[in-house]
Amino acid sequence: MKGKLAKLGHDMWKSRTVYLLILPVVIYMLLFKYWPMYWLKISLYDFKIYKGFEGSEFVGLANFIKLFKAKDFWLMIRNVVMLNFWSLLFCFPAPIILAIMLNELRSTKVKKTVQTITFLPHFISMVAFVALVTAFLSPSTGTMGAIMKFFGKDSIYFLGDGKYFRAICVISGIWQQTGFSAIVYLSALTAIDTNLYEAAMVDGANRWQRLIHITLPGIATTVIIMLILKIGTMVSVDFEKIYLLQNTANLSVSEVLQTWVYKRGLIKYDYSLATAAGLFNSIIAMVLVAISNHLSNKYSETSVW
Amino acid sequence: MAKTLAKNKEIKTKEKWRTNDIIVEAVLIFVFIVICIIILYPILNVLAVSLSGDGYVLRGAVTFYPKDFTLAAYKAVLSNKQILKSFGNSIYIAGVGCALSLLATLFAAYPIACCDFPGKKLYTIFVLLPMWFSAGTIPSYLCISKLGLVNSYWSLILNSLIVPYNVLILASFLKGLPKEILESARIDGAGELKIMFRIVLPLAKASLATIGLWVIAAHWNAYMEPLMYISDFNKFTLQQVLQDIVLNADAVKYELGSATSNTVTGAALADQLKNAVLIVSMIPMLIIYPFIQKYFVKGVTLGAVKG
Repeated sequence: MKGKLAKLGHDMWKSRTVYLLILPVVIYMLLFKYWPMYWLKISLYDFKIYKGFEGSEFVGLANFIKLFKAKDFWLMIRNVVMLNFWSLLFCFPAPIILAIMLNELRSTKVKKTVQTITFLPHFISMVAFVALVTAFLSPSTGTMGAIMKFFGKDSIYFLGDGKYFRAICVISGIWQQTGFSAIVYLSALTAIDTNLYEAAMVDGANRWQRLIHITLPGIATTVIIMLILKIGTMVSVDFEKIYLLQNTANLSVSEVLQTWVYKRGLIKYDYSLATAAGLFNSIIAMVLVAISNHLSNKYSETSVW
Repeated sequence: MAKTLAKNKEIKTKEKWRTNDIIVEAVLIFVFIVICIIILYPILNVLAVSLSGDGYVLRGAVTFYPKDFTLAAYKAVLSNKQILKSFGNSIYIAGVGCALSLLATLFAAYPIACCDFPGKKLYTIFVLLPMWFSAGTIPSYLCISKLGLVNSYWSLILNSLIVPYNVLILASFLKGLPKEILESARIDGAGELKIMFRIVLPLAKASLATIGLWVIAAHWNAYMEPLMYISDFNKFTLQQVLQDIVLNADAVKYELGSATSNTVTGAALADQLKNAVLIVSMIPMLIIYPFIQKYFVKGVTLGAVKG
């Protein structure tokens, strides 16, 4: 025991420069990422910023109970679940398909051009992106209006009708993110050993068989990691997009916890209730990651941590 | 064609073009052309409208090229002090933010990937944990406000100085570097700081370039953080101005209405001006990113980081 401690001390002394290296990082993380976690305790208070913790009343879980009883709450849960369900179904596989298609393409010139163009929407800001969506869907001057007119239909104000909201979100999401999300898969594809393909060709495997037996298993690990990361960010991503696309007409399908937290907390200054809602959001996110990581560990021996 | 093929991987040069392959290639190229049109059309349409005369814009007759070409909208936008100011603000934030962020990310990732020290596993979890559990909007806001950073650009720069996901990406990349180089440098008595800057930094250029671009893009395009932390109109970032003008059509605040009233009028003015602001806001990113693009696939190898 004593020997072990001495060895640990020796190792730590030897690594003293490394500790100096990580010191600023640790200070930063404590100040900007972990200190906010301490502030989570305002969700247990009826917090008033001018009173501070001492002056504010401790209310226990009252804020959480208030949150769960709010009639908007279950509506928001449903909206988040539905948006994520559709996004997982359509937005997640799209980049995998794109990457495989690019990988099958033999002309490198075409490949590069397609990559440049499909990456492009990722670098458009959310504000500009929502402006593009609005302009595109405009019934009077937009492209969608022109298409509807071409087919002899009346133009519809898509953004003014809640029933189109989810479709707009998912389709525009595919347009914006597919190219960029394909990068990780492309890089996984380049890492596949070319000898495998050669061996398969010697064995007489055709293109389709090579795709099924070499390419797909080759990127399976990446797919699983991306799925885990995606599931973890599901409840919290897209605040900007949804907030900007939100209007009174689609509020019943577009209100999600994140937008509600912002409006409650920073516009109505109801800090405690908003923090409780945010904390609930973060806990759900963490539970989701833990579950998916556990599952992928169990079935494929791949995990993020 | 032969030249392109020669550039391809060895395996592909050995392969002959069978009829089947030609059909597959043709189908793929056709699909990609359709995809590219779908992606480019909405952007070209906005560009075309911003350059068109009011008659065509009002009738919705502009497609992907300008009709009755005019630069009036751009003249109005580029002579508007408030827009130019916010443009400068955004450049400052993105530039300073990127430089500091890359430095901090290297500091955070290097020990995870290249050093062996007691407590490494704990440190790795400590740095990456916020990726899975974050305190949320309000506590972050309260901290920034306690630090006195509201209405200061440091709130935006420091808040996203170290992004755990970027640390994960850089650490994965650094783990792939040959260990022998580091070991021989250590035997030669080089300090960790020296190894990090003199040996690791040059080797990690591809990864750092990619992450640098992400950071610039994140700062340039950020909307939520400025919305929360910057309320002083004079400090507005370009995205806030863009939102005011394009989505709220709040041209009065920026005195845009009168600037071009003698060239274009009414609703069309708003459309051309909106689109011109939109295009101006997108241009810097669209210029930078093709230069960094070549590093993308090389720089992002996502593997499991285990402590």
